[in-house]
Amino acid sequence: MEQKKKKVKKPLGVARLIPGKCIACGARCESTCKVEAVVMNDAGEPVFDIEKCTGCQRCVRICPSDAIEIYFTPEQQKILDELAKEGVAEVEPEVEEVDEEETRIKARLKEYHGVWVFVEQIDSEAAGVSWELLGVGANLAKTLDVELCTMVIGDKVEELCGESFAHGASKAYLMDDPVFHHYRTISYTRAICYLVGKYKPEIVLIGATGLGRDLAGAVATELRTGLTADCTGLAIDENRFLLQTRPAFGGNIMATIMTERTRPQMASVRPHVMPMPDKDPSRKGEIVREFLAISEEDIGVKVLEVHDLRSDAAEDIDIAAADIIVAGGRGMKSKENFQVLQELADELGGVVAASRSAVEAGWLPPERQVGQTGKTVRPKIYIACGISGAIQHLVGMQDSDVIIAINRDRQAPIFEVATYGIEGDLFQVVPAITSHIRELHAQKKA
Amino acid sequence: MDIIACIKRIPDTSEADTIKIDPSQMSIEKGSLVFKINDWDEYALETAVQLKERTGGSLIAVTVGPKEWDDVLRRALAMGADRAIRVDQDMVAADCHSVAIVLAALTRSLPYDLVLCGAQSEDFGCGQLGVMVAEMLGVPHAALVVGLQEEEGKVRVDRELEAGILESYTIELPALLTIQTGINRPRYISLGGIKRAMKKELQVMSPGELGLTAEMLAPQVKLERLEFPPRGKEAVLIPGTPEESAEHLASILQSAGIF
Repeated sequence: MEQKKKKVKKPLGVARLIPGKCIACGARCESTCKVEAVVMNDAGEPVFDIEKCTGCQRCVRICPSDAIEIYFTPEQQKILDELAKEGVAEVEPEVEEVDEEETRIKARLKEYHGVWVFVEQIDSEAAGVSWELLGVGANLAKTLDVELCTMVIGDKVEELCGESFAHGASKAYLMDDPVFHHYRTISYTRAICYLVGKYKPEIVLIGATGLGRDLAGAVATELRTGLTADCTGLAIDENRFLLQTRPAFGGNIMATIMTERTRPQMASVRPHVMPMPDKDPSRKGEIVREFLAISEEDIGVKVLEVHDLRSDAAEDIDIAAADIIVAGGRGMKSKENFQVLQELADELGGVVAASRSAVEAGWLPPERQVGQTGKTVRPKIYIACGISGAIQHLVGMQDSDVIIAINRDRQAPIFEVATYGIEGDLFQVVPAITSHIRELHAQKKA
Repeated sequence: MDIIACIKRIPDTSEADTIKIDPSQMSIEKGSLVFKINDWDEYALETAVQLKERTGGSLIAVTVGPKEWDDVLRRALAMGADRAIRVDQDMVAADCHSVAIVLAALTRSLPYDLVLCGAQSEDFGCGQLGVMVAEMLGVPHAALVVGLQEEEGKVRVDRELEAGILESYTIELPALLTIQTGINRPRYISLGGIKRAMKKELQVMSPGELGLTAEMLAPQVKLERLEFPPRGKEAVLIPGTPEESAEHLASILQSAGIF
């Protein structure tokens, strides 16, 4: 039998709070501690019981503000010093075995491979955002050195697999069934959860459209994994984690968020945020057909009818197709005042659009709304009149070639995205522009 | 109809130049900020109050947050909620999932036909909370609701899709709706109204009382950091009187070959 010298265990130290750094995040350290060595005080800061603390560093790692450090008690320091004298201090075999659960989580995360994009479609026509996601997805897949795949779910949608390949995917998981003809949360959620459960992708990207938001939230809940909505930036960090950046606080702040302990990492991205990748119809890929037994009875009972409320009287103007847009916001003050914008639009050969607040006030119909819940436009010229520029509006127009802002408030965020700005009363400025352009037109004719 | 309205307290950041990120990079500096009820939630509350006025039943306003959040519940009581419940838990920013777990657990313990949430929040604005709560409760939902009509055991809702297209659903109760701004005009609440509502019941519960453990509420997403967005190039300001600047702009447009 091997004669083992009684081993002196190398102390791991105990946790303590670095004064002034705790942000009272909500007791993450307490909840992660396995030996109940952390108790929160009234200020929401942790108090450590050094008798119980095993030095596992769980709390150190979970702390969002790096407020916890490991130190050695005098007794532990003594043992350390002695070990150092014996020359064994160099060996550090203990640290790794400390955290079995952490190891388990890591192992579980490693089971997940690949970057997946959900292909949104209505009547077999794909939403452009799906292909945009393949563009950013390709970068992520390349960094991770994994496959880029799509999920194509619908009724008679096989051709979208070919389009997936043309836009950069190498594999498409196809669920083609009449039951998926209309989007319903329940059926699509089940389909995606089935595919994810079977093939375990590490990243799932979904377009942040009305449909996508609905679906992403339901899928993430079902899969019990993290979801970051409306990302504007996606990158991979040194630990192969997805760094998800999204605007917060009205777009004044960018927040970077990670899904640390669960997979897949789910993110939604708004249309037109990511560039459209080149399409190459010669690219081929593999179609994986999947089937899920799901009946109308399973899903049809709750939503009783779906109908489009667009009035037949809706005007035949598509602001998304216009080259020149003159848009009005809350600063227009009344429906009648939009005539001022109409005159400028007529002179420029453009159309009139509105911010959400103007549409809510009933000054213009909903199909003229620009922004997050309205249309995304990219005209050559966008003239924003009396629009302050809330993030929900900016996302719908900030990619216009030239943006002109006319506003009384110099601090309005619209001036940050505008190419040209005029600080002033739009009721004076806009008619003056109109008459100058009229003049220039007249000169040209003469 | 028994209704639960879920509301949230947010910092009013519409004054853009007042926002600062604190040194931890995990939060904004809140010292100088004014806090208020989330815009979308106010519309949800108004929807709830109007429904209660039409159909009878109870209206409970609920929130998940620390003690300071009582003020938005007081406001809800002043608007017409019968009672209010705050689950005393300081949630991690951007972690909708854990908030949804708390709200779902709380909702299950209460009578309800309809749960109303705001469609999104003004601070993080994920727009995911309502969908998650509905999934956890196993009830149907409709997001971005801009019109609502109650029928026997059902509600008919108009919801926004993209690009000004609306859809109309009939949904069986119980159900959850997320309310879009503009669906109504939230009533004016005076300070006196809030004072009078002090008599109404405001209950505080712990997650533990709902059977929730710290482990169940471990956040699934972790906030890494906050930072300011890269500043866009500022607009070139065209100076002068309205007349002068208009003339200048007209010539810019002309030289751009627009007309």
